[in-house]
Amino acid sequence: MDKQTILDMQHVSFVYDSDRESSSYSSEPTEPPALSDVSLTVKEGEYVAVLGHNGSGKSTLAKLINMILTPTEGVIRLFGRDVTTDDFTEEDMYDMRERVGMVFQNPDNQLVATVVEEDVAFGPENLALPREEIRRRVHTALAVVGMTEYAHHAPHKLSGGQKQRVAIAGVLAMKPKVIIFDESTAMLDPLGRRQIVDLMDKLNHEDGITILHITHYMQEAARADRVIVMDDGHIVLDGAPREVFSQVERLRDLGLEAPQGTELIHRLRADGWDIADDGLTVDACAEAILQSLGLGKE
Amino acid sequence: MISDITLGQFFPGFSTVHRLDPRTKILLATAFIVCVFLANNAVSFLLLTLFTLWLIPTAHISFSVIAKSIKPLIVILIFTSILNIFMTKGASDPLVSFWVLEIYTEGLVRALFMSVRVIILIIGTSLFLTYTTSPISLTDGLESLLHPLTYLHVPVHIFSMMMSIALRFIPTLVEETEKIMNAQKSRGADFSSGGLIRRAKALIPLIVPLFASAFKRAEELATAMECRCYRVDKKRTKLVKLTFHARDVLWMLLLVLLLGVVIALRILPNHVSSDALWYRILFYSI
Repeated sequence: MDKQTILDMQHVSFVYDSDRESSSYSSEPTEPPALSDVSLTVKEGEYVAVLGHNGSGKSTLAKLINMILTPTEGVIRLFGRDVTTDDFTEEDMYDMRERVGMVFQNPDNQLVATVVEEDVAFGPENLALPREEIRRRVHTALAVVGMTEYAHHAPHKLSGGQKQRVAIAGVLAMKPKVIIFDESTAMLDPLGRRQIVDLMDKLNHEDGITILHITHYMQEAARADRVIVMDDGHIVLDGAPREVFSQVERLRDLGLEAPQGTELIHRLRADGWDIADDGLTVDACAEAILQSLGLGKE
Repeated sequence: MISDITLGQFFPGFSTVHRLDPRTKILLATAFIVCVFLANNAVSFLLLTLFTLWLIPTAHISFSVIAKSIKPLIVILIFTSILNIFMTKGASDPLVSFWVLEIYTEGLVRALFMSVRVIILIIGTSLFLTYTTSPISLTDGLESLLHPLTYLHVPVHIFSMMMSIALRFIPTLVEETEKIMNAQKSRGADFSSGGLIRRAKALIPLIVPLFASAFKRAEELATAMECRCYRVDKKRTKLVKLTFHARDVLWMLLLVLLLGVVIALRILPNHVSSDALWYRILFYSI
């Protein structure tokens, strides 16, 4: 049976400031669209990474999906409902936001309360859930992200990675079907980054949550099931990480670099080596090279 | 490190006073303030002073902390006391009189009462509120107490949300200030020399980026809150529920008793609490 289509975008375009303050900016030329003619379908349980250099429109994409922005043109369907029509009410919007959680870049600017546990409770509180239910959800969410022992700490005393995990717990407490990570690892140190990406894997594999991970780290994108590359408001590549990253030149043209291992193998192949080019992680690439040298473990 | 600063000097602990419901403490502090202002005779003041002295160890606050909190007041207290002593004219003959200055009993009494009043007012309210209650639970308590005002369309919840977000971001902004300060210092900014005006001017490159970033933070936070379904006009539930316990009732009874005694001493017939009588006992015996 087919999985449910969670997100369906058809020919979506978005221009910043197109109608807002148009009088004061009328003399200036119209801004180029941040997103032009994007069509994208995401099914339940997918793990999608969205790549692109700064200004490629990947954050705009996230904001459109979460209804912070409304598209200038095109149709966005969430769980089968068209969010661009007039009969999509505010009530419906919050209903969708309950299902589509979002984790932002700066961990500091998304924590509301002065105690970890109360921050995690913020979302369920907004849903006006009964107290016992909130308590249960907070407990579960903190356990999933491994922050139970910090429940009564002040958020500002935590490390970046820990804060981001609290933010994720806050989203999990809403019991979302989809979580969008909008460059959520960009401000973290390598350890914090790894923890967050591991957590994404876990949420996708164990809890079946659809993940949309917007990032510019190739290694992180390589862990997804599907990679979308954006450039200048368009989707330029869309496929399994293997397919996308094997197009090393194309990526370079787009201002992106393939993961280092993949890059190395690509160059070796260009020099006439006979190496399998389907490795993405450093270990897989090393194994592939060993194989071609006849030293692989078999 | 400036990040060590705390708002309103909260001393975490588990004393009886700490464990009281924040709403109770706000009410107790209010009752205490009323007591202090209603007190107009030596017995009342003595009673209130004893109560305050008993409250300090009960709240597990050290006397040195109290002394420190009173210190900045000393100059003002001495100044107003001097004014009171020399400017008050009494009915009877002056106690001392030299040149144009005359000291009356009433002046001395007034100076003493005023000083005691200010000192116990500060100590009492800080013991009930800032020293023993975290800012956030104080906010919660205030929101709960002011809740009836929502029926008059006062946006109590919005105020308390603003308060708690402010409290949440104080440490973040302090940290940010430090960062900007260091960044500007590394480019040769000088925050500590020169006159007042020069130093004030030196703060401009500190304040401008701080505000810019604060506005950016505010916008991001608002977006994040909306994504978590926050709506100003919608009813919310709360994770932490404030509950009154037996000790809350006990403390309230204690303060009601104190208030009753103070009021009684104020309105009782003159021959019992006659000020003049007590002045005599207090001062002529010395």
